[in-house]
Amino acid sequence: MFRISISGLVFLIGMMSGIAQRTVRPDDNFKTKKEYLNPNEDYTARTLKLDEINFVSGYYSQNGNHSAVTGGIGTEKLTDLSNTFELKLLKNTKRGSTHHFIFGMGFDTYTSASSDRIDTAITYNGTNQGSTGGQSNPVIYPPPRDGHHGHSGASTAVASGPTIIVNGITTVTSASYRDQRYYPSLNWSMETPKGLTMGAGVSYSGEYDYFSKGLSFNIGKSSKNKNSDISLSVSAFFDHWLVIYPAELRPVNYPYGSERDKELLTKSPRNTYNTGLVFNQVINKRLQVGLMIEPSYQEGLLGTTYQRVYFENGTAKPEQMPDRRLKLPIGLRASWFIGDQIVVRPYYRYYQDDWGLHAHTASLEASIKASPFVSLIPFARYYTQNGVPYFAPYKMHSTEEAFYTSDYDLSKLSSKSFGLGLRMVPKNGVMDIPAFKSLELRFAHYIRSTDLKSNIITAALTFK
Amino acid sequence: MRIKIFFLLLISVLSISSCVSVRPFQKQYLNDADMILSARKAEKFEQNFQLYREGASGANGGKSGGGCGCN
Repeated sequence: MFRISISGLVFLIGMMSGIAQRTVRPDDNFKTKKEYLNPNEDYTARTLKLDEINFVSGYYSQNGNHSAVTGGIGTEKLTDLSNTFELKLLKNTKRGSTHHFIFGMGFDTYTSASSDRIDTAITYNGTNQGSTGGQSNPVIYPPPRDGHHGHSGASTAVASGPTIIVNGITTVTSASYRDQRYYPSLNWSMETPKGLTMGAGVSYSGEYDYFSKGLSFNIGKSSKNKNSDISLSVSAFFDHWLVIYPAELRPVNYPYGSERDKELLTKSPRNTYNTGLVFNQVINKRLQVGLMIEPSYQEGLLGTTYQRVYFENGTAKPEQMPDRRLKLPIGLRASWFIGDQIVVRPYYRYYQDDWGLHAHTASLEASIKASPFVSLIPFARYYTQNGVPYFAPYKMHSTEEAFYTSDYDLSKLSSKSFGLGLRMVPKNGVMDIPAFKSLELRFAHYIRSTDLKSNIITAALTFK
Repeated sequence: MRIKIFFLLLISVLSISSCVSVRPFQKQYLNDADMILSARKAEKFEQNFQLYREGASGANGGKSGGGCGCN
């Protein structure tokens, strides 16, 4: 009986250990005990591999009649074609951490009718005239620029379009009232199996008269069940502009900013320091919320010197603004899966700064899943701000004011934006190209209470 | 008054860390690509122009510095 019991016990243990046994693989002898016991760990250190390529292209067009360059009157017509490219590389380490290296490159080309009016372009025989017809012997002031005309020093003196009078100043709409902006960036981020995330990045942005160098760091931690996470980020942008004045307000012997004398322009810094605290929380199986607090401090030249301000007495000066600005935006976002086909994403932001600006932003977006692979995304946004006390319209400023602007971006205003997006993530790739993982198209129409309207269309493509 | 309401909302959000614990296999809805809590890639340019055309900025995952935007 005892022998039978022992045999039975050995059989049972054998059965149980057989069930519990893992498949022995040829390289098992090379694993540590910790690695062996944790089947989810990736034992092999992988080489750097391509994870994702993203292209985002957008075209923006706006029109209005309150340009800050011409003192709160005049065209605000502007177009911008933006293209960004992002290369994402991935590496898993022996310890199970994931590293991402992201190289980004962006290139914008924009045209701005108002920037073209920084300079009074042409006087004819010393007298400003308001039409292009019939002039002879034009005296060009400032002298024609050679080569590129940046957006700020941009207005060309070589007339190719109609001459326009703004506040008695003759300006020329030219073919070269455009500029380019390029902005490369390099970012690294990592995530450990314990939910710790870290990252750092550098960036650069260059335009004709504006240059920016950026640094950023972030650290975050997820809870054990990954239902909440918190992250802290800091970033700094060290910018400088080449100070350009409107022609008639330019100090004597001050360069006008052409390619020829660009190097002689005064350089003025503008530094921005941002911190960000983000807290995300899963509420239940269908709802999650996020809270963002992003205080920011700016110092340096915060006014735009080629924007004119006209005073009650008819005189004009370049815009003058305080050289410091402390901003405090707080945002709240949620995403909520309703039923099996609709995701609703509401967003609210409260903003205030020490220039006296208070603003509220609310938006609502719904993703309607037409199929498991296609979503239609209607959205709407409302924004309102009270305006800064330094703002006044054309010829409404008093000469006794210390700070003054006629930039309607800082006036009391509200705006509405609405549009539609389409997101496709087909199982076999977009257009049956396996590597073409997703395509998102988005169109938005924007209406501002100060008679500015704009449209923007964007396409985002992801390849894997 | 608006600020008070906002901070009440803020406190409510902060106090919800005791919400239902959702296990990984129950996250099929939460892991859906449309459920992201950050801005979409295709929203990026819209946010840039909102930053330029309005006085407020930040707390939306968009651009917070670098580049003039002074047109």
